Amino acid sequence: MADIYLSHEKPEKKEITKTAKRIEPAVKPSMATKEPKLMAKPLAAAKAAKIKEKREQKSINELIGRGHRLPLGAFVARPRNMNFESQGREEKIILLLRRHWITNMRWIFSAIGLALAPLLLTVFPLLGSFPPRLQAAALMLWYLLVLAFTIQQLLSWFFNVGIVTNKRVVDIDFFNLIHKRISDAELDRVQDVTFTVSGILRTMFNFGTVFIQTAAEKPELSFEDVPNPSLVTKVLEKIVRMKKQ
Amino acid sequence: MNGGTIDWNKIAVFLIHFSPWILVRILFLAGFAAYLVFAAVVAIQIFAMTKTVSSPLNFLVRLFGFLHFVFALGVLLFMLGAL
Repeated sequence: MADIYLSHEKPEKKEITKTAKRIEPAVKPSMATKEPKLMAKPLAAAKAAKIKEKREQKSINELIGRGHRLPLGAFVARPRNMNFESQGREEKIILLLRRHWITNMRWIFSAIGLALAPLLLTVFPLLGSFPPRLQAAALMLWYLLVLAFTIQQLLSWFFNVGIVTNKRVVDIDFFNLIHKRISDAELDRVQDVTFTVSGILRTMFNFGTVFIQTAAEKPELSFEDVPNPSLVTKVLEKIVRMKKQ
Repeated sequence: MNGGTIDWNKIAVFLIHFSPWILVRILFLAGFAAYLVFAAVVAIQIFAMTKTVSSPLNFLVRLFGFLHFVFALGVLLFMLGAL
């Protein structure tokens, strides 16, 4: 049955609202209740900025794709659990680049050749006059040198990285075991991004050098022999454009 | 030395019994010791490198550096006994 309100019942509702209104002044009015219009603008702006950031991230993710997230890779997009020394709090790594794996073939073949070199001693017994213990020691020392060479090349490949974040571009170079150089440039200062792919090997395996011209102290950063340089260039150009807008 | 004069007999005995392989052994041991120093430098540098660029493989890389140093030390000690 529908509720039927008589005319004299209506004032009760009005009384309730009146008491509610009376309670309000007893409570200290907050900024939000006193000046809602003033607070709404910065909140709306922050919300809009977040939405814009999400859209930008989505467009970059579409460009990069969902693959390439292995930490041992040469082209690592949005790497998980990876960070670098001077990374800021809200700075996120978008791309982590190393030299293409094919560039390691030269030292790998060299190491294999050096490891097989002692077999030549069966044909040319250079250590024939050495006592057996010294022959074994010489062989052991040779293989230790091959191991040292391999370790140095492997570490150099793994830790020489180029990093693109949402705020800057970083180039980390370890020239040898005791010499490192870290160069970076804010995305605002990136002026031009170009790449080159030259030679049969680079064309076949799609790797090349990306040059980043900046207005920073170091005028040019370069990511040498990185995979898919055209995609790296596209991503960088997109991020720089978004940053400058 | 006897009253300021050189004892040539002792020197002659030393030269007759001197084996050049002793020098070769010393050189090899120096080589193994140099490798131990290299292994220590690698371990320290791995620590610095993993601090600069940290990844999920940090632990494995550092462990490798440590084990490599222990291996180099073991080889040197073994060669000291063997040679």
